[in-house]
Amino acid sequence: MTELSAIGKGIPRIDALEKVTGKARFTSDFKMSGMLYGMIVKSRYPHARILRIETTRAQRVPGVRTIVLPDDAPDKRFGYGLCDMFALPRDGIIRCVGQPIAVVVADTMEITEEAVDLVNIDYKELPAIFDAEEALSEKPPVIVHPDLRQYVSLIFPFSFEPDLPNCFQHFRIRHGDVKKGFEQSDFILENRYSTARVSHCSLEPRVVDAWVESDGTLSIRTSAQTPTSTQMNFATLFGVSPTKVRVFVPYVGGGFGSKIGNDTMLEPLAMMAAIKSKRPVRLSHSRTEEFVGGRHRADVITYIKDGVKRDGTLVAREMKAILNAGIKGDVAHIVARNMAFGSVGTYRIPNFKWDGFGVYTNSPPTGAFRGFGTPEVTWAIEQQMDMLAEKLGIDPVEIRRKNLLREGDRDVCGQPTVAFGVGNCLDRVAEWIGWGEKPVQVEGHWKKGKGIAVGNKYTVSIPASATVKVHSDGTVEVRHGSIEMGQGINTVITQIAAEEFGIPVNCVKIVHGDTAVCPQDHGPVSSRSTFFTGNAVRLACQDAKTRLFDMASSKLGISADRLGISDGEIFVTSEPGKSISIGDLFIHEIPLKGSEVIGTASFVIPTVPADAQTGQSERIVAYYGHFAHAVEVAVNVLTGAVKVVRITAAADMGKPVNPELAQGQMEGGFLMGIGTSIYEQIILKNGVVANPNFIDYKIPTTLEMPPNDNVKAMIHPVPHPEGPFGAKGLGEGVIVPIAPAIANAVYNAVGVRIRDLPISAEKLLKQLKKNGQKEKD
Amino acid sequence: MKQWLRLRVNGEDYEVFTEPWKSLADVLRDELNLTGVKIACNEGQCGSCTVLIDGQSVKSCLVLAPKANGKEILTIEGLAKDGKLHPLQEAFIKHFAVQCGFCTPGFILAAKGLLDENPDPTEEEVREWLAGNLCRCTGYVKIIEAVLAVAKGKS
Repeated sequence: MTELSAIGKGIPRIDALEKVTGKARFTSDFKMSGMLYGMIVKSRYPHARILRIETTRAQRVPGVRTIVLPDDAPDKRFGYGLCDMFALPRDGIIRCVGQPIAVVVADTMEITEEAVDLVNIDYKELPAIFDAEEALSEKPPVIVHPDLRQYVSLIFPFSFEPDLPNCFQHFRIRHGDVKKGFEQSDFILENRYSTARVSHCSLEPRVVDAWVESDGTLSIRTSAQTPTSTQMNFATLFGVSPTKVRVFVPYVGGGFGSKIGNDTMLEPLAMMAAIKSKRPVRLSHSRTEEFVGGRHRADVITYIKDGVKRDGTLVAREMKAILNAGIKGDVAHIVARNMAFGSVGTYRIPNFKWDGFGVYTNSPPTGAFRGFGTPEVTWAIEQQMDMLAEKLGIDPVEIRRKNLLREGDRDVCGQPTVAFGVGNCLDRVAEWIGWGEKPVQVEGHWKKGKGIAVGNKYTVSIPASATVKVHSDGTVEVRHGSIEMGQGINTVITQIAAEEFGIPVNCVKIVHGDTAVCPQDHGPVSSRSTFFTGNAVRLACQDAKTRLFDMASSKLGISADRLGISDGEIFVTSEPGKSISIGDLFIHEIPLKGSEVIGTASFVIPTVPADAQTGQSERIVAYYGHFAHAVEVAVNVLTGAVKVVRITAAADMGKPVNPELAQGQMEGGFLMGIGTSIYEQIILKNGVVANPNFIDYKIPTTLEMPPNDNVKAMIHPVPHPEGPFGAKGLGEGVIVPIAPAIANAVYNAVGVRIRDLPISAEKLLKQLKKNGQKEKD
Repeated sequence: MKQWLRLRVNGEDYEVFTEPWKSLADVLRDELNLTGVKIACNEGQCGSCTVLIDGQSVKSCLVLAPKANGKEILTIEGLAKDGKLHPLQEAFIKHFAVQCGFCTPGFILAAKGLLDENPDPTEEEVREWLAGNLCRCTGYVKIIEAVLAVAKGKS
């Protein structure tokens, strides 16, 4: 096996220099002459009919150029997955607080803000529903989308329940016979868990600059993750060909899923404003608007019933999960289905039943959040495993080892288990955290405890394409359709191309973020980019090399299969001295054959749709990443505060292309995991976000993370046979097991089990006091 | 309504004609094209807009532009000298302290403010000082590593 030159190396990010000098440009760093500024007029009620919109006073403010109204919106329902919304409420119905009703556009942001306050809307308030279980009933007091039956899904056959008027998604898995399984069990454990609504808090708020190009092309520059989805949705919405839509995406300041499907948020509104005003328009979210309208992670209620043998073997598991989507199916339509896979990828369960529901309520919209439903169900599963262990007197690490899938096993959906490394990951985190040794207690009110959890993260199969051009100076230009949002995809692609051509990384040039130039990719979702985009790039490099070898073969008189390439030279592998430089295959900029040296490729993993009744399929997902986390916490018994004092994770994400970047993802995952476990919750009061700012919605600061010596990110790769150089993905898996690991550690510390996120001081203190009372009694 | 301001930014003198209620962050970005100053919350809660005013690290979104009249302001664009990066910039690259990059200018300037005042801080002191800068990507691990590396290099 030849030594790899670029793969597996921690080379510095190729965009780091731009970013540390402030030169890197994000969408709001661009300026367009004549640009106007837009702001959304938002609904004040969670459910209402619009009786009248009065804009005379607003329009009279000097500098107001236009106001986009519901009737200006195309008469088409659209969405990222489920097409259930108009761009503005043409149907006259408001379904949540903060829902866009109109867009005011003026010369400056100050004028726009003033005019927005002067738009007068008369509403007739309607009863609203917020509780997911109430909304999921057969006769809910409020039906959020009466026309649900007519909606269309772009992604899979629409699977709602005829008897449940607010249900827009029902996914099933049926494997074995749970009833029999429970009868055969020695012990049964049944519980209810819930997760909280949380916000991504990407540092860069959403922003779109929209304009109509001189040839009529609808153009936008946007902070987004899925530009080709925007391209297609604009084509449908505005009735043009996709070639008449152009989406630019510069650097993105954090996505985490929040910017998946932006084509259903600000983008159409900005475009409508640009069309109506005949000027470029910038529409952006303030931080408050990011919190209010930002498509949160939905809260998920999970019912789980486990049946085990006395020796800890899982016999049966029955799960029901309800995702509270808010007013839009849209991306939530997919989350509500795919959250099932969190229960599929890790354990061997002979009898399994899953029912996952997506339900509408009058809450603000939800969407993709790092993990896409998997952390929410893992929250339940990994606490169950600990509780089962305790009941049976088995070590929590042991009970997991016992029930893990093995290479080659079929999981509960019928998919074969491939590249399954979680067992090793579990061993490594157990060792690092000192599992089996009690934590060193300190004087005073802090009690320490340790907790462990495992998880997986599936990656869906969405094809990617790539184009590679070899220049006469031997440099390689790669065009890909993914988006650089901090995860480092541009650096990974650079390394793959450098490896393929045997050139230094600074001889690779990346072209990204323009749908007119870049190939189809869909974008960084589902932890897929290294695998799909990376593989497409790798294949495109090989295609380009074929053309180079063809020309070199003619020149050298040696057949192409005896040639290799490195450092700008094509050489005979058995006689490296016999070679020709890439430059000698060109005359000026024209190659000896053809007009350019271009390689193109697509990378596809065929999948089989899951059976609608049983969820069974030979391959639903492209692959799973596997993760184990261990934490040591300190709980303050006087205040209920929880501090994570040590944290570690081991990831089986295949062979990492850049181990430093992978480690960075894990460390960032620690932060998001700690935040969403202990500190973060979007508080809704009658559908109003009560804490839309960084003071009242706390994300971890430097003080909430443990000292660096107590943070350990480890990689324990099992190379995936289909990954580029064996790589998989880890962007989301890194947060999946953290919340239950912390909950398990808290239980270990103070004997309190919190089943509803977040593990807030308030909740913990209440329980501690109750337990304290019990001890006294 | 607009008024003239004299700002000395990154060693250069500027005269800017702007509304007095604009923030320094807005003026630096919109009038002087210093888009390295990032606005992530505009409410002084995240630190992305951190600049140095007369050597002190300040959240520029909370500073009314007239207050900066006559002051020396340093933004990220002024840190490198004659093409040579500041040690903090080099450390951020070397230690992988950058991911999406949106919080990066604010962190680097805040860290400069710290090291100018306290050249050899403990990890705890670094965390305390930087608690006003939010990052969602890195978990702060490599940011703190980078700052400490610069401190160690100096001493």
